[in-house]
Amino acid sequence: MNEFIIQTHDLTKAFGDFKAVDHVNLQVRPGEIVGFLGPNGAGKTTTLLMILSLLTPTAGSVHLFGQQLQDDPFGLKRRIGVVIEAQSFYDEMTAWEYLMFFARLYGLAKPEARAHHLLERLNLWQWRDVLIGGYSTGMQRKLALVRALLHSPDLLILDEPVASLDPFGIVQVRELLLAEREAGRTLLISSHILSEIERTADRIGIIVHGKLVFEDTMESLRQRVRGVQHIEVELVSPVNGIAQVLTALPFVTDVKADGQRVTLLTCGDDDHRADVARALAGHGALVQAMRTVEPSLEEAFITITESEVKRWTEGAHGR
Amino acid sequence: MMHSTSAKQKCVRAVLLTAIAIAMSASSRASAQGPERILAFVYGVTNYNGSVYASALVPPSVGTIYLLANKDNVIAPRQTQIYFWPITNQFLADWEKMNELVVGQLEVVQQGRLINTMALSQYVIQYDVNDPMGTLGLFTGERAKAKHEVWQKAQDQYRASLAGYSEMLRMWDEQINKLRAESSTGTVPPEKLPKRPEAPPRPTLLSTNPAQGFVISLAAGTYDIQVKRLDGSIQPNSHKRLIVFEPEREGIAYSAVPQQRWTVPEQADEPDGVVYALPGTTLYLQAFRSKRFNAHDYVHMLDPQDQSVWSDRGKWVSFEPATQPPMQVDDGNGSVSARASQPYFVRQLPGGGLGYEVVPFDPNTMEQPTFAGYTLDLNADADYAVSLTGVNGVPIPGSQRRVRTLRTDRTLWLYVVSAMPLALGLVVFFARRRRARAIKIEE
Amino acid sequence: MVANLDVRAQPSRGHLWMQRWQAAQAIQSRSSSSIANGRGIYLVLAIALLAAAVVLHNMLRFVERNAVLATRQPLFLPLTLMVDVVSIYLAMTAAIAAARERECGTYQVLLFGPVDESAFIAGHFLAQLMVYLGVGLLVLVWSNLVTWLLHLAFSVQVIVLLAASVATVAAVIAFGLFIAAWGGRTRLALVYFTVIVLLFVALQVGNDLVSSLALAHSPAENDPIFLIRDALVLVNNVVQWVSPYGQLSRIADDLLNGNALSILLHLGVTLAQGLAFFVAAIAILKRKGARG
Repeated sequence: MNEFIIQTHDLTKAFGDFKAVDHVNLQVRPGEIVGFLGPNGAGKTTTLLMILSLLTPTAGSVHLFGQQLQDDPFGLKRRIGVVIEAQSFYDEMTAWEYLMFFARLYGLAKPEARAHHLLERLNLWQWRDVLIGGYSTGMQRKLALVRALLHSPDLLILDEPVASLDPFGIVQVRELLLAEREAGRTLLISSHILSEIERTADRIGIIVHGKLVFEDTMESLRQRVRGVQHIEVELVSPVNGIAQVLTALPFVTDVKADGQRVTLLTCGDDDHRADVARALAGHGALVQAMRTVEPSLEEAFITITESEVKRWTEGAHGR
Repeated sequence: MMHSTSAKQKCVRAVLLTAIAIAMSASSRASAQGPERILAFVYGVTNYNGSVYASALVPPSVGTIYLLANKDNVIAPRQTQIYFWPITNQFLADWEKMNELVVGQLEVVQQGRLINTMALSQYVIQYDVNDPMGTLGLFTGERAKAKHEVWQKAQDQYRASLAGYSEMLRMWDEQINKLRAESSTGTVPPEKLPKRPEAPPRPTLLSTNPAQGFVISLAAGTYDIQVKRLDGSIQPNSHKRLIVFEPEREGIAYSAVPQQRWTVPEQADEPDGVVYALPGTTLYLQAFRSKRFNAHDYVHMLDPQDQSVWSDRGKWVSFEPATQPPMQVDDGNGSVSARASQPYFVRQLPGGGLGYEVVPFDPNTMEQPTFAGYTLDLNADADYAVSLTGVNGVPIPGSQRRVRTLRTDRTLWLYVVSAMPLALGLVVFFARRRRARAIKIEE
Repeated sequence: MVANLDVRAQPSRGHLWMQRWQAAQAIQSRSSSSIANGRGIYLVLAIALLAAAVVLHNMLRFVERNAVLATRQPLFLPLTLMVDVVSIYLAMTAAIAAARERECGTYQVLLFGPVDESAFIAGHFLAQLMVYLGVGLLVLVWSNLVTWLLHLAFSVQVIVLLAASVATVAAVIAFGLFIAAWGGRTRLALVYFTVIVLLFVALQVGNDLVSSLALAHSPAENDPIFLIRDALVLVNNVVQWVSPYGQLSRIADDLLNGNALSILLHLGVTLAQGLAFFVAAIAILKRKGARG
């Protein structure tokens, strides 16, 4: 068994002077779900296309299952299932015909049962004889996922797998992906719906301006941004001027007051809830509830990307 | 009628180009003045086409001359005035204005080697109308002179006989008038009528006047020719490529004459050709001994300025009738019969209406047969295999043909059958609708 | 539950070309079904057969007028007309299908799987060819029906011509795929296709026009218009060799003349033409990639 399912080494893609991907070293271990994040235009899709050999790297290498794709292109591709953001289908085919076409392409012996199972799980079974051209966007995305899973690939590369899905659909897909991970599959998921990534991913990779600025577990990510403590206070009744009072506190970095609810960001060096309570009481505010909130993936993402963007911008100006 | 894709295309193109050429010529020349004459060196070719001699003009714009192999042909070097005739898209020679022989020698070169140098010869062409193919001949030198003298003598004798006949006719006329005058009734009884003098028979020998040219007979191959003048220089525009060709094979060609339209026979030259006719037709097949030539070479031999290019095609040329061999007819149902070629006469039907009938020739009542041929009566589903048989009943190679009736009453079904893909498409369409639902599902 | 329904893709077996062939077969099957389930092919085939029927009808009219007709292969002209119409349609659909797959992104989806440029082109090529084989069978049925209806003489040469036309159609389809690879976008591919077909026609007409003008212009041997004429004749002859339709026309002539060697030669030339376009299409796709 290879140590890494996906391993890139100094993967670079330059378009003239512009480096879309800059020395990316990404490693995906067997059986894990890796969330691949980045702002728009960061280089996620370019990286994925190079991993799949649809784009030729300017420099660096990609190993899949310990091999380069050129060594056994057809064999390696048979072990990969891919869903990309932009959906493309044969509108004149029914879903069932579409799946059977791909089943034949991948050389599947008896794909009917698996196709039935996957369609059933994603509530598409009753629409299997409808032309794909009549499918909604969400249904098409689910169908693409079925297609990618049909041949039981060892590696799944998914770009926005739950975009355009309703909440029920998102839950279905999440459960399906987790089941695939339980079955031993490895998943590399790129998505802007960070809450889903947070729920499913074991590790996160963040790419900004073509550079991989973070690659580690969710916990490490939270620790990195734990320099900020997030306190939520529920007052009995709104109090005027409470935001200014709290902003004056030395350890407070940001305050939002919305009626009875007050949200503070404080330095993460200590637990400042007692100090906050004292400040509120001193101003005549009665506290109904107070709790700390763990930084979300969204917050962590924004923090990291903003700082990276700032650093990149300063670096660019300094040049 | 031989159908081919390129023949039809060529026809359309020819019409289009002729129209353009006419328009262009009309815009550049005033019709009242006539086409412009240009002094030019040309070759006047008298070529043997397998049965007769014909003449062709080779202007400067034509680079190659085509001639039959191992036959006497004449190439005459001439200086004349030529003009372009847009209607036929060809150059023509105004011989009346100018027709000067260019004196010199013809050099014949093959693969860079001079193989022959020829001097001009005097020649005549003669044949007897009673047997044109059998008596046709080209004679040169002293023999030409002698042959021409024989012809001239015959012409002189005929003129003398004609003069004598005129005199005898006048005298006979006078006799008739005298007898009429002496008769009480003013008419002369038939038994007293003197015999009308007979006109002298016309000479059957035809001849050209003696002319000068280079008489060529070469084996098949490619040559180059040019005229060397008396001063040793080469006549400008006299260099031409000369392609000498021979027939590819021999066979039997048929001319199919239907009873109801005998004036429009159909040629069945190729051995694998099929003759189609309407049911109930009486068909007369005239057979000819024929030869197959490369179409491009043969057509350009007859008309050096022809613009068609048929390098892959063959052309059958008929020469003499083949009336001796019997025809074997197999009706496809196990019945095989033999029939001989018979002479037929076409008789105009009396009365105001147009019409004619083809009847067997009766030498007692008819002057001469209109044609000779083998008769086939075609029933509704006739499918005959015919061939001429030679010695011991063996079919003559190239004489086999099929003769079938064509069902022209099923045109509607022809179109119905041709539209069947639409029916198939409809079946597929409805079958697909049963298998696949075309609905739009909203989010 | 998922573990029980785990179906695995067949592992790589055999030479790379064998795997490409299997992928091409899958693409061919899909594409052929798409064509067969559409309306276009039936409409075009009906138009082609009706055009052929018009040609035959003219022949019948001739016989009705003149009572007799001698001809060697009355079905040759209608059949070559049918081949012209259907092959142009199949080449255009090949060009559109391949270009559209790249444009829409389905080509990229295929490349995620065990498919490469060769398999993609081969699949589309085979798809159109399979459709033509089906068309050929239908046309054979039509020929037999028409022969029986009109009491024509049916000959094996018709079958040979139809068989030979497969090579012609294959070459034209390969040309269509080459145009698709070259043009990239569907609309551009269509424009290129139309322009090239018109260029072929213009060359033929231009050749005849200049030949005619050359005769009308001047009798001098060294007049430059003769050079232009000769150059155009040469170009036209080359084009006739390049054109698969020119080759089919020669094959029809060779069939009539019984020249088997020449038939094989022209078949070989046609197949070589098709192979050249086929390989060129793959090479261009490889260079352009999935999205270029």
